[in-house]
Amino acid sequence: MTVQELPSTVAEPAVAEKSRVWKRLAASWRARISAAYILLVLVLSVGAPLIAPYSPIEQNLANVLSPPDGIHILGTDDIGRDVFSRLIYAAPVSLSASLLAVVIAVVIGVPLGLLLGYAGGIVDEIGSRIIDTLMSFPGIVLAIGVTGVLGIGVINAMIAVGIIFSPILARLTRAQTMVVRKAAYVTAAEGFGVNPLRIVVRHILPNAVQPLIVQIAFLMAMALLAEASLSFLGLGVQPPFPSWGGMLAKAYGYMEIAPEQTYPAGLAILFTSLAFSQLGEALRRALDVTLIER
Amino acid sequence: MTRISRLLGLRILQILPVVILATFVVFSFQQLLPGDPATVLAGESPTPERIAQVREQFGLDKPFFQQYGAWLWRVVHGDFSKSLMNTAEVADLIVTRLPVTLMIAGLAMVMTVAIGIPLGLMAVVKEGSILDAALSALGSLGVALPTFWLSMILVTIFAMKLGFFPVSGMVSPVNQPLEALQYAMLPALSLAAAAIAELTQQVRSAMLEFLASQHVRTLRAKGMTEAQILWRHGLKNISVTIITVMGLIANRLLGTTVVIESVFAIPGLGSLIAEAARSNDYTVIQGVVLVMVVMVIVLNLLVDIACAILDPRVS
Repeated sequence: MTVQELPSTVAEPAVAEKSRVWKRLAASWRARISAAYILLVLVLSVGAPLIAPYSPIEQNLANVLSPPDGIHILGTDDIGRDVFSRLIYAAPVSLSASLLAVVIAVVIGVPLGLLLGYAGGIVDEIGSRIIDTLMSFPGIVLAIGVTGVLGIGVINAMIAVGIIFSPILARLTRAQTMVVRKAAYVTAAEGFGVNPLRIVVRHILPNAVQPLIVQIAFLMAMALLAEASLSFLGLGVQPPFPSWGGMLAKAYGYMEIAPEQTYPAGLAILFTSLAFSQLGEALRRALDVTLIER
Repeated sequence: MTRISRLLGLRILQILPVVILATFVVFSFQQLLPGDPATVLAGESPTPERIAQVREQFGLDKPFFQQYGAWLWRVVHGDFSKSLMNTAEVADLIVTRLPVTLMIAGLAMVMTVAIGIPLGLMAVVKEGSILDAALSALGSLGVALPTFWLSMILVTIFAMKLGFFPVSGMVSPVNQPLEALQYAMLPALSLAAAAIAELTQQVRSAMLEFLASQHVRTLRAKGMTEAQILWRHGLKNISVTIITVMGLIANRLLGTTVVIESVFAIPGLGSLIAEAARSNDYTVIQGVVLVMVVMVIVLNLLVDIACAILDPRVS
């Protein structure tokens, strides 16, 4: 056996596995519905200027808090802005903000987990201890604190959320790395004197990636809720730009006059977060992975 | 008891580095401040003399670790500095607002246990029924539910329409505990909803696992009724799981309270840090985060000890 043959011996079962996973995903109602919903939100996000009937920030003080009717299908808010248009324009903001947090968590967490899992020994001992400690801290409180210190705004808020999520991915990556690094092909590659960085990137990461994909779907759901919470508190997306959390905060202010105005944004947050967590659950079942309990 | 006391000593020793790491993380927030910390700490539109005075007072011209040491020394002595906004002592702010937050989180925890455990057992007894399926669906819904939105719906129904509870606000739980309880009901219920959904599922799966064990076969063979198995042996066997899950839930409740307090305009730690974050009140943020983190560390310690008492195998 030569070094060149190593990847192919690993790749073959992976290909067979792939088609089986797709089959299982396609057969799952959970996966189909949540994927279809996320696709819909993506289309609305990209096509917001074409789909939204009105501008999301244009005020009309002659027509405030109008109930849903033929002209404004979800009514207007306290300064006469079209709620439906704001709802649609908020989608790309929430999605990209959540994605930003998750990308930051991946960029910090995955390399850290690979390092700890591959290095082992004292590095792993200390690193894992710190990660466990950081994971036990109350996430949303830290996110609020860090945002307050960095300065409010959706970018800073989601950087904070991403940093706070990163230990979750680090721990998962570490656990996967420790399993994979004992595999025969890794030992073989080490025996051939392959550069450790190459081993980690070419041989360990691809085989540790499945639980990460599942966890990332769950993190998207968590990030979306975090963004909504922070924008609700006035720390995330700043007015006049629309965000689902910000719309809820506004609607709360005139809830006694127009209680129905809390529903569009509330349901948007609930359904989108639910779609990501259910997609994660469907992926978890299709890939048959178990995540470490928090 | 020697095992428990030895364990207690060991755990307390183990949390020392955790507490130190926590203080270090919280102190490091200072490094995140945009610009010169002395300018920020000097408050709004400071004079150059004031900035120099602050730099001297907080030792900001000293090396990082020396600053950290000095800060830690002050914090250990209960000195969290003054709020940058209204010059109130941060320690005083925390002490007045802590009971409110503890009351809401505590009440939510009581609701979670009182409703979640019986519901979980019902799901086990009626496994495969519509009730079981509905509870499982609520379980998945709970993770995705924006708690602050749920609280708005609860306010519309129970406070505005039915008038059972006040819409918002709070009275001092120390001086008027009964009135405070009324104010705390809806916020606690909002917090508890997702937690109940989760605890129900955890109790269900732990109990089903227990019922499938060899141990239960023996109990059945000895002629024990299903109710006896469930309530007497079952609960005892899954108690460690329940306590561990409750610890995680309590941790999350403390975090979610921060958002819920803002919805109900409740003067607790949560609304304190939310206001502070909006106005970049750095010292208040630092103080509240540290107190919350230490609370979680102590909570985890209590969970560990409870598990050790309940399960002799834990060492």
